[in-house]
Amino acid sequence: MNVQWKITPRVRTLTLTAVMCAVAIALSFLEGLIPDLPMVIPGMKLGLSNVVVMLSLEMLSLPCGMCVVLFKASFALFMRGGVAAVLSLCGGVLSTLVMYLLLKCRKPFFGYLGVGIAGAFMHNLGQLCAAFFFVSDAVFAYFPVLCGLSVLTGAVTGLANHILLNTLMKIMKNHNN
Amino acid sequence: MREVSENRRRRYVSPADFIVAGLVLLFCVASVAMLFFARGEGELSASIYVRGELYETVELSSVKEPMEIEVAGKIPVLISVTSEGAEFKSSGCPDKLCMKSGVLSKNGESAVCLPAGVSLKIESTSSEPEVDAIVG
Repeated sequence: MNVQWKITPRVRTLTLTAVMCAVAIALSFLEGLIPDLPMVIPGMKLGLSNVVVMLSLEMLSLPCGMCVVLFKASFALFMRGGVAAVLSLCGGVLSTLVMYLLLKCRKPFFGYLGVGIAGAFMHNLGQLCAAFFFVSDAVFAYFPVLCGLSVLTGAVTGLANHILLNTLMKIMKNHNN
Repeated sequence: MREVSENRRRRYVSPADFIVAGLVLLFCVASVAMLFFARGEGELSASIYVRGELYETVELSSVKEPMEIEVAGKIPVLISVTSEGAEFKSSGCPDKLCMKSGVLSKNGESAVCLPAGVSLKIESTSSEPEVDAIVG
């Protein structure tokens, strides 16, 4: 018996997307274990799954990144209910689109710092707008803090993405040779 | 599978990033300024909104003894109001984030319980111009 496994580009994209989805879920779970920082809005999170979305956009494509967002939202639907799912979806889609545009942009050439910050900011903005429809304009009181914090969290996720991507590329190059 | 070639590899920091960071910080400062100027003087009151509609307003100065307001619904919420401020006392929501916001006492402060769709806001009764609603 000699089974030949052929890894075509399509299979590779499929498996990588699946892995990205799984990692995104795992990261957002782990993130929930981090206790709330003092002086910060309760519920404010680092947005580690943004790293995965950024990674999918760079290594794969926009549809794959959206796939991760959709998967995360559907997970939120089962675990935390409809409101959480819509919030996750609005933030995710907006941030993914903006990050994709910034990554596409060749001139000026944005670094991961800028992409991370823009992604974090847009995620917050999308969620806030969705929350506005659910509750009231009271949510916009959070806006200034969210802006300030998205610079910090974006810098962290951008750095994580930078390191991860370089490492992954090195591994894949060695693997291919 | 898109390979990122050596010479086109993106760096962590590029000059254009500071434009992005600057813009976001500008939003931050601008929104702080807006919220600051939207604050009026006068009597403070605690308003409870349920799904965007005003549910109840309590003038803080008229509160002699701590009182509790219950918002019934799929997720029941208990809000306590004293002459000093108002807070989410308890909520049936899973994450209890609204309760962590603590006591709200200053004008413009607000807390939200998203799962229940209830928001609590400290407002000034004397000046409530219509534009503020749009600025939010």
